[in-house]
Amino acid sequence: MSSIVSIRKVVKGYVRGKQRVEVLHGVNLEVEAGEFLSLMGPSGSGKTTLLNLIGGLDRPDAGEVVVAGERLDRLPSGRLAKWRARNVGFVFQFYNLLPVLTAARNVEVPLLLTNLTRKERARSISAALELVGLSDRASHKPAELSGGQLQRVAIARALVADPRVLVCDEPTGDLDRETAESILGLLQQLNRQHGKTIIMVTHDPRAAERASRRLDMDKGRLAESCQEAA
Amino acid sequence: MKYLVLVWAGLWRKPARTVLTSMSVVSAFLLYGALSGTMVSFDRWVGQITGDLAVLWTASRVDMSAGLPIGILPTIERIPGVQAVDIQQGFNSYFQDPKNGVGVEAIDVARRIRYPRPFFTVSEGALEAMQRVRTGAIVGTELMEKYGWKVGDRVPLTSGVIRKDRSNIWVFDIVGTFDVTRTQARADQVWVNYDYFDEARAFGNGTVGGVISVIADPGQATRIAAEIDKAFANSPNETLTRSMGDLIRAEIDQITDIKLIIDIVLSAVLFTLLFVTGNTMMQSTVERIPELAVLKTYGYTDPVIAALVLVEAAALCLISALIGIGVAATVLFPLIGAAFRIGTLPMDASVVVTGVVIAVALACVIALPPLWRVRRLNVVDALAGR
Repeated sequence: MSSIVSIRKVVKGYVRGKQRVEVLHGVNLEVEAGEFLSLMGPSGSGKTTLLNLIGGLDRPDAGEVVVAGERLDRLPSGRLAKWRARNVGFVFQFYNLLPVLTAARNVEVPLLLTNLTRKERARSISAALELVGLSDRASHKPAELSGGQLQRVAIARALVADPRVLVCDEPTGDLDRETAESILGLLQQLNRQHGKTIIMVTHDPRAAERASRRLDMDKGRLAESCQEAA
Repeated sequence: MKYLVLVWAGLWRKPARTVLTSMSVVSAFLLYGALSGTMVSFDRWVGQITGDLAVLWTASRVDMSAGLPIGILPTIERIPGVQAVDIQQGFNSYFQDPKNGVGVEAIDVARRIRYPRPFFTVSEGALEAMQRVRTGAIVGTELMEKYGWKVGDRVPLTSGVIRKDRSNIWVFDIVGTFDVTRTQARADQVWVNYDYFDEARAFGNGTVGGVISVIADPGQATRIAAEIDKAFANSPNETLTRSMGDLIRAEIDQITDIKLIIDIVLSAVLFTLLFVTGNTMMQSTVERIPELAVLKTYGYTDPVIAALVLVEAAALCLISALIGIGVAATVLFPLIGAAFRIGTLPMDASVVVTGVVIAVALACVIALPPLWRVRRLNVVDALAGR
């Protein structure tokens, strides 16, 4: 299998107040296409920073970030935005849905940037909602849905434009155990049955167990792989 | 068009706030529509009722209420370009009760027969009857209906103009009626014989309030007006000649500089609105920073997000402004027209266009701080809640 994510000697720091804090210290990472990778580690270890670099939301101070064949650290911001629209789907801990829009309209958000017709968009939305088991909630607004349903809508939104990589930042962090299990099951299904490459940051070891590979991060460095397959 | 769903979502994120902000914009543009619209429409109305008349008005340069000797008419009549001249002499009175005000115009009947006043139709034989009956009066149909008068009635009118017999009650015999052919004119006056009025009054005999000159070519109005005034320069009766439209506008200006006051009030209102709406837009944008960050993660570029914020501000301002101007046109204008007794004023298109331009400019200005905020938006920080 070929690498869909290739990170070499990446350094990343932030200026907080008057101090510069280095978060990633020369990180290397290869992720194969179709992998389900979990990144674990304590708060401040740099996992979300690494995830943001993979998702094209941020740029490294040094090193190379190649995702889906594109050298992200060299792309100007406008092209990077367009690259994100085509290649990455994001799932957040707190769902980040637009409260005024229905589930279907929320799922439509990434599709508005495409050239799809209204009918084609409607078909894609319907398929994405069906995939996450929420066809009957299409016209519901976020306030009318449970936490698990909200995350399913967020996953449908992440999937609807058929991205190559799904980037999930603590997708079960705001859910109870039972709901979290069902969301992880859904992610697993997307990975196994639909071949989606998933990179998930989590604090939860049980969530990490669902991934095909687990990496631990500590103090800005990736530890050796301690898990292969779930 | 497909992005309108996001604009709509932004507008209705906090419905109560949007409605209240919209209402403040509606109120401001209601005021704009009513004040500015009335001024423009009033000006247009003055132009309509006087512009196509090609009529000049001559009064005393010293004091408009002082009057001019009636003997100046032949001199004006001889000035090239003047087709006809007529007198203008009016006074206020009331019927039975001071609340029942009646405007009286003393007319030169012979001239009125020769040069019928435009916009007015006189009942058949009424002017000829006036020539026979010195105390005769031709009454507007509106007034006839109001007081239930009939032709042949004798009506006493009380006035501030004192008669030679020291009475202030003027009695007239109704010999006919007149009506109007334009909605802007009113059939609510009484026309009486100037000869009788002038002979009977105790003071100001032989004078008229002003002289109306009908001219052949409106393009020559300035030259003819100057020539009329030149003819009486350095005389005891210096004149000031203006078009009827200018006269009405000057009378309005004598009360106060209404336009200046309106401009000041509107500027203050729009300036206040700028802060109120701008603050709301800024609040709304700041609250939505995480949502805007999510849009960015999904590939929405800065220009697209900026356009969404701008269109949202424009939609709020434009829709509210049009509602405000619309209410002013449909609800306030008839009320203002009725209050000034000038019929229903039409809303001038220039007021709507200017209102739209102001609303769009307002939207652009109030969208600037949110746009600046969005431009500086760092997705990573926003998603992390920083």
